[in-house]
Amino acid sequence: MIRSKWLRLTGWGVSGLCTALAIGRALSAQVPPPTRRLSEAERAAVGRMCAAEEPRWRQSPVHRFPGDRWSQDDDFHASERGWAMEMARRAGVSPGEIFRAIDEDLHTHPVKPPRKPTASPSKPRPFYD
Amino acid sequence: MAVLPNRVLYSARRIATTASLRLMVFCLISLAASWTALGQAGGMNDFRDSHVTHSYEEMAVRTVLDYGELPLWAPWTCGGLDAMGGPQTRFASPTFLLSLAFGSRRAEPLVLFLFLVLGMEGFFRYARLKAGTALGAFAAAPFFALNGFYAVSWGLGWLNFLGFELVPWTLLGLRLVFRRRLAGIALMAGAFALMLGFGGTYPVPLTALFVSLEAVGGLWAQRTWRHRAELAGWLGAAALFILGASAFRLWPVIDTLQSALRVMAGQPGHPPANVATQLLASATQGGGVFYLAPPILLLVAASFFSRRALVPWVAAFLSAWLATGYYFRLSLFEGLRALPLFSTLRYPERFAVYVAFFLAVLGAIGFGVVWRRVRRSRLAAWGAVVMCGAAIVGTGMAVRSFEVATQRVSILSEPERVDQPFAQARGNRWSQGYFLALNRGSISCGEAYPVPMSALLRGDLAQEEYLEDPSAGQVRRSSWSPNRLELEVRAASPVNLLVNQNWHPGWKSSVGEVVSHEGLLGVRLPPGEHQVSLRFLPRSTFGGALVSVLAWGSLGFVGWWTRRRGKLSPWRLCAIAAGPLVVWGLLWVTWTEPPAPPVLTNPNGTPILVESLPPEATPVRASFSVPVELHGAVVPAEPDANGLLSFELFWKVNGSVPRAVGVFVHLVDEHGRMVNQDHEVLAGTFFFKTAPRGRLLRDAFTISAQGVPPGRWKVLVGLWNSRGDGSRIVASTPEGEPIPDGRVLAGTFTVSP
Repeated sequence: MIRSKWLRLTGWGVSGLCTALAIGRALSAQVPPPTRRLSEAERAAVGRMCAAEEPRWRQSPVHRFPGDRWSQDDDFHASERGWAMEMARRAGVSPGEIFRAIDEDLHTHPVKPPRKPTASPSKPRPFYD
Repeated sequence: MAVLPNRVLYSARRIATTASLRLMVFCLISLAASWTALGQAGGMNDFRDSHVTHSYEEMAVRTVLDYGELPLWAPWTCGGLDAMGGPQTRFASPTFLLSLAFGSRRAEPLVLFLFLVLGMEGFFRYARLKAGTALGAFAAAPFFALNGFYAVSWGLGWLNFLGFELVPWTLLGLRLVFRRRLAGIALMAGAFALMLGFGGTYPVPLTALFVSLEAVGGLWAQRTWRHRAELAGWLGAAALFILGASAFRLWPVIDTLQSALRVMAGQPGHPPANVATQLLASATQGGGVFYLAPPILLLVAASFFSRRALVPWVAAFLSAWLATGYYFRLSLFEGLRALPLFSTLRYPERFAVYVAFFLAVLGAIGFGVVWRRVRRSRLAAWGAVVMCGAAIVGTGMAVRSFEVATQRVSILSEPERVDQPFAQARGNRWSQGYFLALNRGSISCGEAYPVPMSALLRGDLAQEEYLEDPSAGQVRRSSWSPNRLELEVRAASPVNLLVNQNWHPGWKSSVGEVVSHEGLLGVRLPPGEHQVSLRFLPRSTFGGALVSVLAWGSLGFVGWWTRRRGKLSPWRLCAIAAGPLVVWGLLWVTWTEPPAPPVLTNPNGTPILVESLPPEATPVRASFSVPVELHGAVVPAEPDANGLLSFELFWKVNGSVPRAVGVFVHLVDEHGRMVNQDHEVLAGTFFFKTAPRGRLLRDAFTISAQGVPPGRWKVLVGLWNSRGDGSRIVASTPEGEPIPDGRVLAGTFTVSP
């Protein structure tokens, strides 16, 4: 019985159905975005807040990664990300809104040391164990 | 009694041997395993690595759909890089069609689903040849394909590790080459090309290793030297075809890695018990990674009674040994790292994937041992049924484990796209996906290799294209796309036009000369009004693609010839396979591009190569019993305003030095207290073994004075063996006088209370 043409066709059919189900589920899945957005004024304020925090975030990795520019900047970016995620959670907006605010602030206000508009060239650490 | 088990077994065997029914089962299992992941489609995996790897795919989709260009240059990452040369990009594979059709985020779980099916089918085909039983191969296939490592990789955004699912296809191809079948060569070439195109930084070299081992085994198994020579010809042809078929990706990656020296230090090691736990611990228990469902061990146990199991047991043992890394004094992983292709391998535990693979093969063989007795023995028949039951239970466990691992992923909503002209942002590699949605490049770079980047890139420019001397004229962007920039330039005098992206030798300009301005893309222009068209046309991508097309064309020709006129001799096959590689060589020689040597800097940004000792350095002459000399040192008198002590040592390497030789730095105060600053890697870039010979090398390192008690400190420097007995290397003065303890005084400093 198992040799029958119908069974073989069933096999192909179910395989196709599985693939169709996979595609259907992937296309219909929803991760709803936050509905609220920041206004221009709010973005400007968030950008300024981040700029005010930057010197502190820049200072802490100086002793954690002495002499390692990329690691220091990377540590700064980790702090910035943590702040942005928390800020987004509190404001009920997408983290993208916060990063947009930071970017706009960098493009509209002069950046003076210890703040930096740059990031050190990539130099991954040689140790991972 | 025997009727029932036999009926069950033969029905199951029919399912295994009927392609449609077998695929149906594999599809059902894959669907169940990827069900959670499919439900997450369209969301953003917020893990930092996923931000980096996924962004590449999204950039490629955007380049094709929004700009109608091939994804050659990725301006959104690290200030711009050669997309085909990025080892982790995965768009150079057929799965990219899914990203184009459904969107890169929705395509990801579909890719997972398809790779699971592919892994099971490939394993089935390989294990059936190896074990001689279809049902055993069928039963063991899900164990391999549902390896928890893939589920964890999915969660971390390491989708390119799904390339491991192609391992059985490469080995299947090899088995067919053993039988002198051209399809085997095509299969191997296709599997390797797919792995490479899919970003197989680990799957490709590791699989090449096991393919080589199995090839050696195949040669050994030949009865006569004539057969061995014939098979060697076939294997040689296969290797040449694989190289040619992979050139589209291999050439850009080689070019990239030549411009970006990556060093991997450290001596990671894991006790065998940890490797075993990693293999068999459930993802539902305590967070362990579920590599292999434990019921497979029942099938594996039976393999002890089969001679076929010898080679897989040896391979499993070698894989397990490799997975322990540096744990044992005699480390196979250390030996492997000494080879050029494997020198930057990290995480030896990834070899556990191969332990799992070979154990699954042994499971198939073990089933075969019982299967061959089924007709004669009722006990064996029931034993086989129990094994089938174990396989079903194991598959269920693996599906559940897969589901648990994929549920751990942190999924957020996809960021909304903002339509605005492209510009660089300072960015954030931990959240890079958000910047891509803003059409901003992230200068903050989280790549696993030192991407050649300019320190002049900025994330605050009002205009991305500008003149080095702003008073010399004006620039206006007329059009922008990833691979092409159209600019209107008015210059009153000869000027340097600068673009806020990295330079690469593949950039060409319609006017003037493309230059690297401290790593920034620049064009030297004469005075006047110019319509400058900058285009990215890298030799490696176009040349590599041509070589690959020729390789596949040659293979097609051989197939046609074989059908029409019979088999070619292996040496003719080799000659035809070498043709595309000859073209590759000719292209390499005749199609020149400006050189792009690596930028050699210390982690603090200072150049490594120096012509002579800087004025602030104190000459310190010492030589060692290995061909290394210490020429000088910079030792600060006291910590700087930030409380940091920055040191520089100036080394010269004159010959071959063992890989394990490292630098020790002892800071010793008047009370004999010591602070250690040993480092195995010079300037964060070289081992002594790989350092340029005969050049003066600046090895800069900094310590925080916060951990250094007040007092007067001596800086004592020398070399030691970081592996083995940890002994110091003998040091002597230029006059040949031995230096006590091999410790050279480089200077002193004071830390005030």
